[in-house]
Amino acid sequence: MHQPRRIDDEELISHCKTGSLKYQELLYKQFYGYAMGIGLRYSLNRDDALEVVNDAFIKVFKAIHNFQSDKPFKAWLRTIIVNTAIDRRRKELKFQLHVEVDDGMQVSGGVTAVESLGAGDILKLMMQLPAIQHAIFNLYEIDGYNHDEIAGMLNIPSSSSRVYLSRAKEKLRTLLRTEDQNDGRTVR
Amino acid sequence: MDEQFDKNITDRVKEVFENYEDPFAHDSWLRLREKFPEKRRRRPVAWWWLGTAAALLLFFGIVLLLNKENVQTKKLAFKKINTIKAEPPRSLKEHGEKNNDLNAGDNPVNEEKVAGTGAHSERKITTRKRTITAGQNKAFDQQQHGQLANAVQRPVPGNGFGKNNPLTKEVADSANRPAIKTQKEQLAENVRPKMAAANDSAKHTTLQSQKSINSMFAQDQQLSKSNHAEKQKNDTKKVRFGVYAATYFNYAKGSDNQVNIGAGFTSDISLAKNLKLVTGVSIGQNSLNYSSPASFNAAVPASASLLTAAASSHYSSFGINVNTASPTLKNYNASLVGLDIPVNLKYAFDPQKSDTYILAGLSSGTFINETYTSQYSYPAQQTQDQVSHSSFNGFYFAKTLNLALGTGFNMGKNRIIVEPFLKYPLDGLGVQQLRFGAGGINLKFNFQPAKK
Repeated sequence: MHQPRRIDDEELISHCKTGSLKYQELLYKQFYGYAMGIGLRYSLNRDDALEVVNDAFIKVFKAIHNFQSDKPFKAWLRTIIVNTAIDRRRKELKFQLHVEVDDGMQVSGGVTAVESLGAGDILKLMMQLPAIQHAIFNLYEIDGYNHDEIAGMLNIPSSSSRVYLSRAKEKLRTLLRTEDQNDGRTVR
Repeated sequence: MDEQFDKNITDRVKEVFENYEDPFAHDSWLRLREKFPEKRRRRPVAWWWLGTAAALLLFFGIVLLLNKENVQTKKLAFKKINTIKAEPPRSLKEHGEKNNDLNAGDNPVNEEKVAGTGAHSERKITTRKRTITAGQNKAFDQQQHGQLANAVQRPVPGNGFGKNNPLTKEVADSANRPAIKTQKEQLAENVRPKMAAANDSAKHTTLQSQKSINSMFAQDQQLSKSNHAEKQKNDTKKVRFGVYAATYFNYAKGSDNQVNIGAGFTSDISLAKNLKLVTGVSIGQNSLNYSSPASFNAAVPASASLLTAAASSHYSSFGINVNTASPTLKNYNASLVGLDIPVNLKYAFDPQKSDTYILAGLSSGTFINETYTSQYSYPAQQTQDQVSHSSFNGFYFAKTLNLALGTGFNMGKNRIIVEPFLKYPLDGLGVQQLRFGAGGINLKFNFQPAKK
C-alpha cells in the first residue's frame, strides 16, 4: 500500500516560493492549528481569529520568497499573526488605554488548579480582561516580547505596559479564585 | 505565592495554545481562497488577451508581408508586359505602309489602346485589326459609318482615319461595350465580303509575327528580370517566417507515453552564412499519465505524497480517522496546454543547395491551462477523483533543451521542412513541477522560394 511521505517544512516552503497553490494549501493546513492558537488569544471571537489568521497567511504567501529557509518558520509566522492581530485591534486598544489605567484590583491570590484549564476556559478568562491588558499579557507572558517592544507596538510608555501586565495578572488570579469558590474547588 | 500562580497560568496557556488543534482547516482554507486567489485570477485574463493579441498581430503581419510580396511580383511582371506591348509593332507598321490608308491610322488611338492592360492586349490587337480593315476600305458605306459614329457618341480627336473612326475609342468605353460589339459585328459583316484575301493574310502575318517575336522577347525579359528581382530580394531578406505543426510523444519517468499535437509560428533570423537564430511561439498539448503510485513517486515524489496528505487532511477536518480511512493514490493524470517560446540556433550544412540543418537551443514558456486529476482509492473499495486546475502559474525560463535535425523539400514556390526533434527537460514544469520532455516531428511550411 502506498504510504504518503512526510513533507518537511523546508520542502513545503521552497515549493510555496514558486507560487504553487497546492503547496500553499498544504502549508496552510499544516500550520493552521498553530496559527489559530495565536489568533484566538488575541481576538474577541472565533470569526475574528480566523480573519486574523487568513490575513496573516496571505501576507506569508506574498512575502515567502523573502523568507530565509534556515530560520524557524513558526517564529516568522507567529510574528506575522501577532502583528496582524494587534493592527486589527489597535483602535480598540487605544480607546481602552485611557479608560482602564486605574482599573486595578488588589487581591491576594492563591495557587489554584490551573492545570485543568482547557483552551475554552482560558479564552473565557482572557475575554474578561480589558483589551489592553489582554493584549499585553499575551505579548509579554506568552509570546515573549519585552516591555520596550510592547511599548513600541502599542505606542504606549513601557512603564504603562508594566502596569497593565501587573493588573492583568492580578485580575486573572481574582477571576480564577472566584471561579474556584463558585465551583467549590479546593484552592491549593 | 502569586508568582508561582502566575507562572502556572502562563505555562498552562502556552501548553494549551502551542499544541492547539482546529478541525476546520479545510473550510478555513476555502474562506482564505475567497480573498486570496482573486488577484491571481486576473492575471490569466490579461495574459490570455496579450497572447491572443500578439498571435493575431503576428498572423496579420505575416499575411500582409506575403500579400505585399505577391503584389510587388505581379506589378513587376505587369509593367514589363506593358512596356513591351507599347513598342510599335513593326510588322503591323510595315504592313500598314504597304496598304495605303493604314498610315492614316497611325495615331494616338493605337498607342492609347496598346498602353492598356495585359488582359486586354488580345482584344486590342483584334480591334486594331478591324480598324485597319475599315480604314483601308474606301468604299465603305458612308451611311453605316455614320451610324457607327452616332452609336459611339465619342468622336476621337486626331487626323485621318482615327479621327472619324469611333471603334478605336469605343474599346476603352466599357459601358458602351455591348452596343459597340453589335455595331462592330455589323461592320465586320458588311466589310467582310468586300475585303480581299490580302487583308486576312495581313492580319495573320501581323498577329503571328507580333506574337512570335514580341511575346518571346517579353517572356524572356520578364522571366529574367523577375528572377533577378526575386534573387535580389532573397539575398537581402534577413528574416523568414513559417508555420508548423507538430506531432510528438510526451515522456517522463514513470509516465506512459502520450501522443500529442501542437502548432506555431517560427521566424528565422540570419546571423551568418550558415547560422540562423530561430524563434517563434507555439501552443501545444502535453499530457502525462502515471498509472502506478510507485512510478509516480519516482518522477515527482513530493506531489504524490502531498496530494495524499491533502486528502488525509481534508478528511481529518471532518473528524474521520485518517489512519484507517487514508486514501491511496491510484492514478494520476496531468494535462497541460503550454505556450512555448523557443530560442534556437540553426546551422545549415549547405544553405545554397539544401535546407539540411541541425538546431539546438532552449525553450521558455508558460502553461495556459493545467489540469491534474488524481484518482484515489479507499479501503472500502471506493474511488474518488480530485481535479485541480491552474492557469498561467508562472513563466518558466529556459527549462527545456531543444535538439532537432531538419531537411527541406520543394512545395510549389515555398518549402516544406521535416524536422524530427527532441525536447529534454532541464527542470520541473508547471504547478506540480513535473519533469517531462517530448520527442516527435515538426512539419514546417516556410514562406520562401524553392531552392534551385
